[in-house]
Amino acid sequence: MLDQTIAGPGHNNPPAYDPEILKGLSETTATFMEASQVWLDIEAIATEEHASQLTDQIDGLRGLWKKVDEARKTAKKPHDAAGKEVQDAFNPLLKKLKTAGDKLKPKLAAYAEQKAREEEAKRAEERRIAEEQTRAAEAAKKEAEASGNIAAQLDAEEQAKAAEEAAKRAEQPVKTQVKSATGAGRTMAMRKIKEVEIENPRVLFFHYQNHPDVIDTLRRLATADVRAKGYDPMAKPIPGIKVTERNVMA
Amino acid sequence: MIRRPTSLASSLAWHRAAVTGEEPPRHDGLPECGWFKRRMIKGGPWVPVRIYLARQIDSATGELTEDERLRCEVEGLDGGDPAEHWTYLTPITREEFNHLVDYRLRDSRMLDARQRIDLSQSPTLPQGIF
Repeated sequence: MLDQTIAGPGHNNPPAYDPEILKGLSETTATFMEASQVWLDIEAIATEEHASQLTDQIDGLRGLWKKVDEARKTAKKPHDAAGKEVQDAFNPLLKKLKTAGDKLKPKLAAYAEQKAREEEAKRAEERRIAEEQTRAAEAAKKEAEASGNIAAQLDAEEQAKAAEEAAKRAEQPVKTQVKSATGAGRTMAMRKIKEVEIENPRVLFFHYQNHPDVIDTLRRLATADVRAKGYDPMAKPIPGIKVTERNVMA
Repeated sequence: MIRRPTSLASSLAWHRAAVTGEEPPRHDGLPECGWFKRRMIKGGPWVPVRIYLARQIDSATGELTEDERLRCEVEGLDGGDPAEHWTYLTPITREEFNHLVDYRLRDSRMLDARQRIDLSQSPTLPQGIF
């Protein structure tokens, strides 16, 4: 007999995990959460019996955490394997393409640099011409004013305007763009990026000494040393720290 | 020959020393009287064990009518030869022993001594809090 149940939306796209396992763990977790809330509502543990029961509750939470994590790992494993298979299949291609692109970029960069140098030389020549034109225009203007010849004055003004435009053109920045041949590709250009090389770590440290990241790193290093086996504060003290001991339940 | 019963203080001397942290010598196959706990399986619940002297005393003379024998009680039942349990026993105070006897009845997970307890299966609630 055929199953007459109508397939609903998403019927062929099941979740990536076993919903029954998740449901079971969710229910157990919910009971543990409720019990934990009861414990939290107690102001303080006052009896040995409650203390030992709370130990069991904490151990139970830890055990359930392990169970859930194990279930998560088991559910994730086939996906990880599938993911690895996909990575293994595609990554070599990506690597080849990336490497080829990286190797080709210097060629384009060399061309763009050469082009920039030529453009720069051209601009220098244009600047020189523009300066000459400006000087000639100023001389012509002075001469025209001295002579009182109106036509000559107008010509000198035109000459000055042309010189100004030439100077403007010469001052325009040199473009290093290399455009796509077909128009479909991305225009590439030389970009300036800043890189830092540390010359004096101590001076640099003083500059950043109050930065939260620096403080976190220092705390991490000091904590690791203080907690290390065989740490002797008398024999090898770490300056600038105060070691305090705190009791934690473990 | 007068057969006087062993005094309580004498029979429990080892136990008293053990629970007060004196670490008295412990010899395999030579059990001592007192209150103890043990696990019947790894990960199982604590089980109360009591070792005592079984004896018959003549009420008229106060003397033993037969030799004293060490017996043990495991989970409140006859546990047979105490020497078989001795290696696995942890000495506890009488108060702790009484608490264990009582607590086993209040926590159903402890009822089966041969069943490993999985604390992650069900939460542990504070008893007596409503």
